Amino acid sequence: MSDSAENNRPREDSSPDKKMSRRDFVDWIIRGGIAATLAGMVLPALEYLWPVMGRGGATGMEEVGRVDDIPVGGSKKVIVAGSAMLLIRTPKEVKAYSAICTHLGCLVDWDDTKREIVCPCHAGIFDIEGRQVSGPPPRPLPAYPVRIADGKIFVKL
Amino acid sequence: MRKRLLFFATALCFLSTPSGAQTSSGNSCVDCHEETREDVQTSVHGRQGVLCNSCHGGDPTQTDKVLAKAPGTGYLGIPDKGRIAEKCGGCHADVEAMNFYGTRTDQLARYRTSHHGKKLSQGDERVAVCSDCHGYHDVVKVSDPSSPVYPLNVPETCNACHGKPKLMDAAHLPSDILEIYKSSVHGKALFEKKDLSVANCASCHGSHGAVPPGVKDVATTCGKCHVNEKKYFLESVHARAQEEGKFSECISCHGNHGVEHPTPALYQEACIRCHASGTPAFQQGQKIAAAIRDADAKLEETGALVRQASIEGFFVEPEMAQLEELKTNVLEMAPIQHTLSIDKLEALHGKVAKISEGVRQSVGSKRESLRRRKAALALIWIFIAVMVGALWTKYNRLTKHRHS
Amino acid sequence: MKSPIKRWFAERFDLDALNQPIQKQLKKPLPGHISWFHTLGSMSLFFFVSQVLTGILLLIYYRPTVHDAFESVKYIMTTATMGWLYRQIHAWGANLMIIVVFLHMLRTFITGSYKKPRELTWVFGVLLFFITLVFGFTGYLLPWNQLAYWATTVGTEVAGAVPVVGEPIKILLRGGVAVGGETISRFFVVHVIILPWALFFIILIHIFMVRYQGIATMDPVGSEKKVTAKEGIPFFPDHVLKEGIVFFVLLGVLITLSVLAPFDLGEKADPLKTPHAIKPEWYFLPMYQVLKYFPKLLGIFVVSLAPLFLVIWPFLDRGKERHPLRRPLSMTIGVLVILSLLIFGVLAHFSETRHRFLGKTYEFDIYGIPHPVSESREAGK
Repeated sequence: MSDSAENNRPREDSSPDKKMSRRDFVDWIIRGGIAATLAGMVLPALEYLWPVMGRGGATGMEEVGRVDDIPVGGSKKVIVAGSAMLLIRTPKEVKAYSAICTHLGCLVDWDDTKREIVCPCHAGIFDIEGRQVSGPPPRPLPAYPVRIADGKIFVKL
Repeated sequence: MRKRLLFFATALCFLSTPSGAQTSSGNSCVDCHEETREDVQTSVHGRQGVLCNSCHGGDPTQTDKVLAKAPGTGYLGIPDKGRIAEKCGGCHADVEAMNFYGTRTDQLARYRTSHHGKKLSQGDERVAVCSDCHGYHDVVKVSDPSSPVYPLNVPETCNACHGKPKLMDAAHLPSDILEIYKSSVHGKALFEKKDLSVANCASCHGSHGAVPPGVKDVATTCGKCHVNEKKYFLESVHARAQEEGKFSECISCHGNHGVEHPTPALYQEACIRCHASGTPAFQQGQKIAAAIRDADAKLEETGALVRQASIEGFFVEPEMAQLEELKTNVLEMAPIQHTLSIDKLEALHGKVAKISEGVRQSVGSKRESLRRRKAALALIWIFIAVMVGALWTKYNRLTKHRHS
Repeated sequence: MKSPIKRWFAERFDLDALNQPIQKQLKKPLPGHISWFHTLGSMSLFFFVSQVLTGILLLIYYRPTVHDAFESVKYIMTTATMGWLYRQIHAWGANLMIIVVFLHMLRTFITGSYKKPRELTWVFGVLLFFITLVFGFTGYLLPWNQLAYWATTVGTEVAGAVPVVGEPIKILLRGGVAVGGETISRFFVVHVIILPWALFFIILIHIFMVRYQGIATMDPVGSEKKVTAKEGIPFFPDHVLKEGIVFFVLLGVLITLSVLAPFDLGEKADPLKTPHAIKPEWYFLPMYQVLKYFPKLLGIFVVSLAPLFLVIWPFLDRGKERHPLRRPLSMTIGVLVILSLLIFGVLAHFSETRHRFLGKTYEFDIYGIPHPVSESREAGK
């Protein structure tokens, strides 16, 4: 059903007819409908193709921020794949841990003066390696491999 | 071979098989005191080759009953209470002797500072000494679940004396502590969940140095585990009242042995004991309680909303993350309420409300978008009906035209 | 009337010579008995085009690796604008396409259109049907969710039961010992490169044959009358209008199913966690059920007979009649085949599940036979 084929219609049916205007009306509906159908297919597709801004595509590694965002000895909390993650910058590297305390699931913080990861809820303390030092947490914090490229921090999930 | 056997028999004595011929060369005491043989052999001391004479005196190498208890062997028989602590301390307070085992050596010194120890030095023999808690012939390591001082067994062990009304009445002490403890949040965690890290008698009162914590020491005691609560309490107005001796830190609100899982209801039950209802202080307490209650309710409500949305087939990963954050804030309110600072709690409550509202909105917008899709469906079908109608009209007209 | 553009082309190409065969094809009269069911072929083509277009759109965001496949499909469904729609249309389109292609084949069978001289058209049509099924099988794995992973594991396992060549075939299919990253790569290549082009060229051949030989009439073999323009129905515009109507209705059904009954993505594939009662997609269920009744090897033999018969059917059935009522034997066979497909499909659907009928709970065993579950046991669960 191409438009060029449609164009042949009036010529073919050009026999004298009083209902010409009504006939034209149906033809117009069909033509308009076909155009509308095509538009209805193309427009959402264009919308779909337009990239969703503000989210970096990733290949196994998720970009979670820039190294410059975190001072040496400092930390940053980010939400990655629906879960909170704690990034800690040591003089040598950046470490990434799940920021979810293994005790009751509070979000842990990095205490840069004591150099410990602290859970505010029940005073659980983890060391810089994510191992539990004291308090109720039953397990160490899950760690994620980190790679730094071009000043950007990538974390493997 | 014989030489070797002999060596083992003398050095480790009870480790070898308990046939008469061999034991007589090592520990002859159990030949007569047959009923103690098994206890002694399986005890931590028996396994380490500590013989009967360490506590009872005498000479276990003698096979003759008279010679074994002869003067000069230091034979004691059953040591009286006053000497038990000294006897145990003979080894356990000896740094050189215990060094090998890596156990501490301050138990005797601590015991002397305890109420038990002080009374004993005054000649009161009704108090507990080492053997009352640890057992004697069958003493095993604290980490052994059969030990009377294994965390699970401590309350019953203390209760052996502290549950005797007669004995306790004489000392002007209550005798129903165990029952109260069992109903407490600690007791339930210990007995029902078998949580060994939870507070038992010794966690607050000490073990060897057992004393009731004084009014000033309560916070220190509770603060050993409840670190944040203590830290925040020291920021509160009650910390000053406590210094003036008008307020007994944790206990004033939570009680002691019967401490229960606290709820905001405590603000009604506890505050009223000192603050008349209607006073600003009481009102502030009610405000804090209301904020906590509301935060709890929001947590529950938001959790239910996210669960429901997930059942409805929506992707709720971002909402789950927000829920986690919300939960953290709510849990954080628990220790922070000890500051009694309405500002701090309101700040947290505000965060909770904001996150909860955010989750509600994002779930709402997801539902709305589904509703819109369904509405669009109606429009699409109207369009299809129009198109089908137009095509059908045209088809009919064509066929009619052809047949005519 | 001549536009400058037309003139531009007319000066360079012999447009009339090009136009003539097009007009001839368009105006070609179709036999008078042509019905709504004759639109099913074009509808199969519509679904193929729809699958290609939505497939290309999905490819924009899809990444065929173990780490990314699931996440990228999730991204399409949650983040990309309208992505959910294209994924659902692609998934539902696949299912509907199989139905429509099958119905098209059924129509051809009932009207006896596969008979001389159109045997090869039928053979290529059957081939198209098989390719559509393989499309379904390979596409099912690509979202890399639990169901996909385990259905593929079981599906490729079937191939391994063939003696001697089975094991190498299985390893070839999987690209390794187990379903994994290599499997997803090769299924992906088959699904988006090999099959679409194979289907495209076979469709060309199929349509060329249909147009070249014309639509079959209901006349017995050897005594067909040529359809004249006078008594026939012109392909355009008459039949095309009918196809337009069916097209719009199917488009509506497709979108409606996509919105109201979306496919779940489920959980990401976990090779260490086998879900209970893994089943293939519904179109493989009859085959899956038949395999249960036979020892492995025999089962595969039995199951592979069916497609073989389907392919050589026009050479087996050499009767001259086309009208279904004059072909009782063929029709009986057809009805039996359809019934058995339905019965085995339903048995497979219910096997290893638990359902309530008329207030009683039944446990269906592996053969789909119901066993009542006593209420006390039920309460205990």
